[in-house]
Amino acid sequence: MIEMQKAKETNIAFVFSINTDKKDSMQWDVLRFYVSLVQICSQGKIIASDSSGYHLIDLNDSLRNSFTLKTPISEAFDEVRFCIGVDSIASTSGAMEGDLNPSEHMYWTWQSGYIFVKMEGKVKRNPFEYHLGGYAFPNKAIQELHFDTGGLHKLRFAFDAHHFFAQLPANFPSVLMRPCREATLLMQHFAAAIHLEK
Amino acid sequence: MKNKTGVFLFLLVCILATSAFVQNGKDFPAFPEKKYKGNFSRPASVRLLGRMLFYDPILSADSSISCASCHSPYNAFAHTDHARSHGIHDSMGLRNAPSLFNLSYHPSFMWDGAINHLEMQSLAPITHSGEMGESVSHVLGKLRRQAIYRHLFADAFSDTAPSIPGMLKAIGFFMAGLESKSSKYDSVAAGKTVFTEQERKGHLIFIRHCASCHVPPLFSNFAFELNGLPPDKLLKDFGRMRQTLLRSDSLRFKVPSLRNLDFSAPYMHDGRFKTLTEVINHYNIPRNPSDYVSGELKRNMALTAIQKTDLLAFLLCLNDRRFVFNAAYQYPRNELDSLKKRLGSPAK
Repeated sequence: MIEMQKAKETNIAFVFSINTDKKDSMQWDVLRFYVSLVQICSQGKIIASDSSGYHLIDLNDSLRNSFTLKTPISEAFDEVRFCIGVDSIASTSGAMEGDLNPSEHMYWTWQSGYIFVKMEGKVKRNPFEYHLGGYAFPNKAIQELHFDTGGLHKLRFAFDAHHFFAQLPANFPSVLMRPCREATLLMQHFAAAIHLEK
Repeated sequence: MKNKTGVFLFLLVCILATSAFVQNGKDFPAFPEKKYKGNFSRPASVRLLGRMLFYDPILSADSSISCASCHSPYNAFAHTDHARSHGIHDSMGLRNAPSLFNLSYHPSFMWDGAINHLEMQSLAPITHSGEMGESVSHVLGKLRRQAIYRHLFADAFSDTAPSIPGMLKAIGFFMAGLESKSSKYDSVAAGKTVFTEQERKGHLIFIRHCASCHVPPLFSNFAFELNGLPPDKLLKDFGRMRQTLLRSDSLRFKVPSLRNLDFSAPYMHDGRFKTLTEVINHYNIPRNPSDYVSGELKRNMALTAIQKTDLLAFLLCLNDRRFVFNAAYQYPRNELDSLKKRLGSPAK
C-alpha cells in the first residue's frame, strides 16, 4: 500500500491510495489518472460542483495523490460524484494549463485526447502497460462514479489492484496504447475497483 | 393584355436574375465561419513567437529540424520533391507533408484526422520519433535557457515564462494566420477578373466531377474519402482506420485542399504522384461499382485530353503567389535581428 498524504481538513478532501495483495507480487511503476467533474450532493440534489477542476492523481507521488475542493461546503451532504477521465470538451479545447498541461505526459499526441489512466508495471513478473482513454464515440471511455459518503469530509478512496486484475479475461493484451474497445473495458474495470474506505 | 405581358416579362427577368445569382453563389460560395480564432490580448506578439518557433530547429531533439523543414513557405508550407516527410537522423515519415494554409477552417488535422485542435497539432511532429524526436520537458528546458524566448513568451503571455501550452498556442496561432485567399479564383469570385475560356470550361468540369469533395472556396470538405489508391505494401498505411479502428475507415484519407498545387508537388497522402497530370489521370480511370472508392469517384469522368487540359488550367487558377511569397509568413530574420540587438546579443 502506497503511503497516503494527509489532506487539509478545512474543505472536502479526496485522498487516493492503492491496495495490493502481497500474494499478487505486483510492481507499480506508474499509476496516474484524472479525476474530474466532482459533484457534491445531498439527497440526490447537487449542492456544489467543481466543473472546471481536472485533478491528475499520481499514486507513486505522495504530493499528488490527493486534492481538496477549493469551495468550502457549508451544507450537509451524503453523496459525492466524479469522473475518471477527461470530458470531450476539455479534450478538444486546445492547449490547456494546470494538470491538463501536455507536459504532464498524459496527452496522446497522435490520437488527440488525454490518457485517462496510465498504468505500467508487473504482475506476477509479467509486464503490463496500459494507457487508457478515449473521449469520442465509439470508444468513449470516461467513467462516472458515485459514492455514499456517510458524513465523511475526508474521503479516502482505494484502488483495489487485485480486484482489477482478477476481472481481466484470460489472454487479455498486456499492452494497450490507444482508445479501443479493450481500453474502454479496462476503464470500466478500473472504475469498478475504486471504493470509498469508511 | 399589355399590362399582363409587362408583368410576365418583369417576372421572367426577376426569375432569370435570381437564377443567375443563385448559380453564382453556388459556384463561388463564401468562406465559412472559422473553427479556430485564437483569443489573445497580445495577438501580434503571440504570432511572432509562433513564427519564431515554427522556423527554429530548437524544437527537434538534435536541433536539426524545424517545422519549416517539411513545411517550406515557398512550397505553400509543404515539402516539395520529397514523397514523404523527413525527420531527424534522416528518418523517413509515413506520409506526404501537407500544405499549411486556411487551417483555421479545418475541423481536424493530419491525413487521418489524428489531431482535433490546431493548438495541439505541433505536439505530434515535435514528439514523434521519426520526425523531430523531442520530448516536451526537454524542449521546455531549451526554451527557458534562451533569453530570446524568455522575452518573447513574456511579451506574448503577460510576463509568463516559456511553457508548453504557450508554445503550442503560439505555433497554432501562427499557422492559423497562414491564409491563402488571393488566387485568380478568388479574384474571379470577387468579380475583379474573369476566367479565360479554357479556365471557364475547366471550372465547369471541376464543378461536375470534383467539387463534391473539393468544396470551394477551401476546396476540401475535410471528410475522409476513399481515393482509390492501393496501399503501399511497405508502408501499410490504412489512413483513418488507424484512428478509429473501424474497417469502414480503411484507406480513407482527409480530402486535401486544391489551392497552391503548383507549389506543393508531390501529391496524395504518400506523395506517389509527381505531377498534376498523373493525379487527373488517376481519377479519370473508369471505375467499376465494386471499386473501393468514394461514391462520386465511381462515376466515370471520361475526360478527353482537351478536357483534362481545361481542368488543369482551372486548377492552376487556385495558385496564390501573394500567399506563397508573403514576407510576413517567412523566416523572421528582421524581427530576430532587432530582438537580438535589443537584448544585447550578437545577431546572426
